[in-house]
Amino acid sequence: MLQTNLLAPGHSDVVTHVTYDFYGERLSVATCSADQKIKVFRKTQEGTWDQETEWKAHDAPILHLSFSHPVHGSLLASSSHDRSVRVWEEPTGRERDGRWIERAVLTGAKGSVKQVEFGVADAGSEPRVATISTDSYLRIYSSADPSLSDWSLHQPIHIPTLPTPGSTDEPTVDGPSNTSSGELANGGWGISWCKERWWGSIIASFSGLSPIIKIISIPLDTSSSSTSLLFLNPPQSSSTSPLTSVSWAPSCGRAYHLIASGSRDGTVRIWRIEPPGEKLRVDYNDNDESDNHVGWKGDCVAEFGKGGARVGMVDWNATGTTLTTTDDEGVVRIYKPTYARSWKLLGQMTAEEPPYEGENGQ
Amino acid sequence: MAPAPTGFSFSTPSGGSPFSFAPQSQKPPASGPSTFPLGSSSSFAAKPSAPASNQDADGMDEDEAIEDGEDEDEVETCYLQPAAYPKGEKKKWKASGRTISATVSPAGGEIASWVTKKPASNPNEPSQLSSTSLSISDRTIFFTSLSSLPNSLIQLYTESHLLFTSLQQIVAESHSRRLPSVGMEKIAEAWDRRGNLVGVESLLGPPDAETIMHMRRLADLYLDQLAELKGNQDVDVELRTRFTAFYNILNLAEVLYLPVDGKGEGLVGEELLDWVNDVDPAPDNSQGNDIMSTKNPWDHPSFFPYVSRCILRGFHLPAASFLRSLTNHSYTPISRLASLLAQHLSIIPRSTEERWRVDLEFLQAHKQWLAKFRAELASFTGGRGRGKWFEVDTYRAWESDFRIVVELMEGKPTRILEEASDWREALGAWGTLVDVDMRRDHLPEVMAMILDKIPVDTTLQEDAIQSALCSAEIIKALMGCYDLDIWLSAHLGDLLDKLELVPDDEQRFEIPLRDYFLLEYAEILQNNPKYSAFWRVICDYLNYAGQEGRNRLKSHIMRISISLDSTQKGKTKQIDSQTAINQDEGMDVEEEGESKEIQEAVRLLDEVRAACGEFKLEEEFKMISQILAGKLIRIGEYGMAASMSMMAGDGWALSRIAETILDAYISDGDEEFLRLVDTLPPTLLSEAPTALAELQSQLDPSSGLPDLPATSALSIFASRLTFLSEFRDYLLFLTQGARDRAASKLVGLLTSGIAPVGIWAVLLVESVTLLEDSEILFSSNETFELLRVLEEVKSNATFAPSDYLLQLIQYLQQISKSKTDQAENSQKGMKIGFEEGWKKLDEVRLALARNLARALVGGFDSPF
Repeated sequence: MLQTNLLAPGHSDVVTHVTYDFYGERLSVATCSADQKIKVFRKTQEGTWDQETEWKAHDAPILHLSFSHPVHGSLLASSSHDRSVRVWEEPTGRERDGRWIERAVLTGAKGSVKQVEFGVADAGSEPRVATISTDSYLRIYSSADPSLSDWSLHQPIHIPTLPTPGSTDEPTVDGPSNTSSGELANGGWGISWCKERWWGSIIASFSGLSPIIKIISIPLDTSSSSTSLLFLNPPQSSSTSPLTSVSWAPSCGRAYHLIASGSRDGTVRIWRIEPPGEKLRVDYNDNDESDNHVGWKGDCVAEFGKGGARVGMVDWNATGTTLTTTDDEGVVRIYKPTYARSWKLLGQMTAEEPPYEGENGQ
Repeated sequence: MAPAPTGFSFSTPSGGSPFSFAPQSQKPPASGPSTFPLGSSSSFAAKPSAPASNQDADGMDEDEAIEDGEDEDEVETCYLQPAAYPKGEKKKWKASGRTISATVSPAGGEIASWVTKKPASNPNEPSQLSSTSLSISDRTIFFTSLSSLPNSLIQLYTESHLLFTSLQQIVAESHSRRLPSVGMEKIAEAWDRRGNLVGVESLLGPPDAETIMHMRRLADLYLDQLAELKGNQDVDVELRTRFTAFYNILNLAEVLYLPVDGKGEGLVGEELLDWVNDVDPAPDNSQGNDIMSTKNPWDHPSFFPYVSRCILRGFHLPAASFLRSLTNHSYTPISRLASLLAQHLSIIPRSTEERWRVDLEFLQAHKQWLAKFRAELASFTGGRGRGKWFEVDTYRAWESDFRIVVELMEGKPTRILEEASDWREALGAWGTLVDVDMRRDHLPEVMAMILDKIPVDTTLQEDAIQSALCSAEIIKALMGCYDLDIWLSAHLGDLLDKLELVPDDEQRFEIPLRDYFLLEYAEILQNNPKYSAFWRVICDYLNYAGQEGRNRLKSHIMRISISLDSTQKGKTKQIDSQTAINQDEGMDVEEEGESKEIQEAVRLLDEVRAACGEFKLEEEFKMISQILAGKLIRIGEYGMAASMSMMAGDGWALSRIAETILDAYISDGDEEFLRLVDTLPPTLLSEAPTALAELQSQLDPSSGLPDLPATSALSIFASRLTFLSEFRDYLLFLTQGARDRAASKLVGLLTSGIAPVGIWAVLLVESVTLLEDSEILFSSNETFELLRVLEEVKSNATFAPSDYLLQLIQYLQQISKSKTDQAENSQKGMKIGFEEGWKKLDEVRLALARNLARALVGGFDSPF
């Protein structure tokens, strides 16, 4: 591991979020209060970053960014303290150096929109964007219109009152009383799509003070309501500190999925999720049907960092084989599974000055 | 029949114990130089594949230990520059409301991190820093890479790739060659209870001798590459050491597991000895010269040790000549004995001599030699016992030195083990002195005896791996390689796996060990800043790394960025302005630079297409084409977009392109239309009418109803493209002055059903000038047809005006705009609405009526 480069994005306030596009060739950077701008950079052949464009995107600090899958075009979504999500499309031809074109302002949230994430694509599907805000509602918007100017909101999902998987309860429609100030101060809100479409649109989400990751199946049409598939409760005697981030690893066709989460008290968990057994196989297999469980199931396969500083983010690489985390100690850590199926800390990064003048690392 | 595995393989199927790697599973890897010396001083060097020093965590509890302070100290830390705060001022920095965040690139393993604000206590309010002034680090995004490869490694990785793929092909071919020899009933058994094909390969057993010989040749080529690198003075010295280690391990593996004859039934002693002498050359020549140059060489303190070393290392002639120097010794028994030993030493039979037709001849010769040697020795000693060889007291002590030589020559195990400086030397001597009949199968047993007396220094990774290979502890050896270097474990693992020497370990691995190593290796390639140069190499390794590799290959290939649209950046603007000023000059210069980039992109696209074909990734290639087509449509490169859509089999995209081009006619006029149509692949246009005709011929002749749904993507895009082609012909006729042909084309367009409804009104308006030509260009029948279309447009437009009239209005706007441009009056142009459209249609009706009258009265179909 080594530092390869640096970039001064030239914002007038600290950066709030950075996101790569599908190919890792473009970077979009958003900033906090002072300038409310988005900047887009493109990687040069030499590996440096050239600014392509910048524009003022919101009326309040921008919190999160997400690029769409390229099959849906060159789209960028941004969420903000101004309670909106905006969808931007890269201009073509002449307006190339100008700001991206605003295709939608997605509203409805009754709090800051903490996170926004474009769904995964398969051919012919329409772009979807999931958002979560401090009102604890997961909102999903999609656009069937090729010009992307018409986005419809799916049934909003109130995460705290989701019925447990398998229960027949109707989701509470009227929702909660307002989020309490304690919950606001200590809670967290996050989402992460399942990166495969085999089982339909599935998203992991958490909200408020709850330490539970809720895995929800999102119907294709805008009118049907979603179904809870699995709740990931922290293991017994483990920390019940509120979550701060969640990330669903690309499974690359493996038979299981990995989901990582970070908590306010520094706990990082890795969950191993198994989808229901394949139906086809059941037909061939009369003897050990017990292997073919009906629903989704999940086990916590690793847990570390209890009692540490708040985890800022958790994120997987493209093959779902290394996990990157940050915490309020200012440390970025990279974990990797070993051949013994445990997880090891591969390396870490800090912005602290090196221990001795002139000596790096070691 | 597959050759019996007992030949060279140590893996007697019943045994299995050599393969159990339970013993080393709890063992932490050697804490030696496990870091990857990347030769970069500005960062900590890390090898993502190599377990860090604290990796012996096994299970969750130990995982937690990872985070504990002392362990963390051992983890490699990258200090980001410029630093955010001085050492010891972390608290202050944290208290200012700052924290760090990061994001991971989906390709290349890059991590971007940046200093940001902690969330505010009210998440609906913006966070604040205690002070608003920003430091340099606050304004920086730091990029780090998980692995970075020095050039010499890149050279090895690139060159060995070709050998790796050849190896896969050779073994695959041997499988298909041998497959028919497996009975059908066995193949039937290859289906498991769940109905999955479990791979017929496993029925075949290890490869045949011929294949193993081929494999050996490829292993030789791996070795050649390593030899070149380890000897290259330009390569960093640490790396050369590593390459030497790779070379020695791979070479040993070749000696043991890829025998020259492909069977491995022969004697292995001399080959092993050669390997030992190669890995650790001894004795030192200069020391020998030193000894011989003294007046009485035997007075040199290293005389006898040097002779012993020579014998152990198989240098019997030099040893003999050293001993011969003793013939000048003044004490006769010594000179006699020395001469006797030298004589026999120089004629010890060696299995490498060419005079043996079969091993047995050599073995008998050796036996005879030993018997003769012992007999003559006995006659020298004359039955004198220990301590009595030399009767003069001064020379009595010489006996022990001579005994060592004698016992080494006799191959006395205890003596060999005492004299050998390490286990390797002992092993080398064993097969040439102790057990001249040593075969590969005997090695584990021999190794056990040797290691019992001379244990391996486990802190030396290389030694641990080599001894494990000799002991047939394959898993242990591979795990050691994995700790040493991922290239080595991937390629050696692949070779050994092909020989079916690597057992599955489902307890610890969900995938075969070989695949695991290959995936780890591919990941090193993927997680490095130059990954894009390796994309094809990565494809091959992933493709051959089992199901998981195949799955990763699918997502890998999708993320190869093909910048067919990259040239638009900034440049388009210049070109546009330049073309406007001067179309002839200026553009060429720009286009050269541009076309080079485009050529690069097209070449990459061709390679990706070829790769998708080779790896049977049709779905992925469709998706790639679809994405590219979308990008190209957005930048107006319709021709290339159409080609991409064809590759994607995306009829909808093709008809979208056709519609876009037609829109260009309506909004920009015929010149733009013709330019765009000409960018389309000619075959696309020329084949479209045939394709459409074929589709139409599938109409059920009796009912006239199509078998296919009329709106199927295929028929729509075929008809759209046909329309484009026919409409172009119409415009060309018009510009060429062939007005009669233009007229009949126009009628054809409106009556054949290929024109989209939106354009009908436009075509009708187009007909006006032709209708009012001085010549009569439309027959009465044609005019009736046009009238019918006009009525349809008018009646439909009453309830769906935008569907039927919108394009007409845009068309009228365009015409009036170009007119007003000429008239230098831009005010008027934009005021055209539906009313204008209706009016225009009335004009058409009038023109049609007039033409009908003319056609009936004076035309060629006049009834009069």
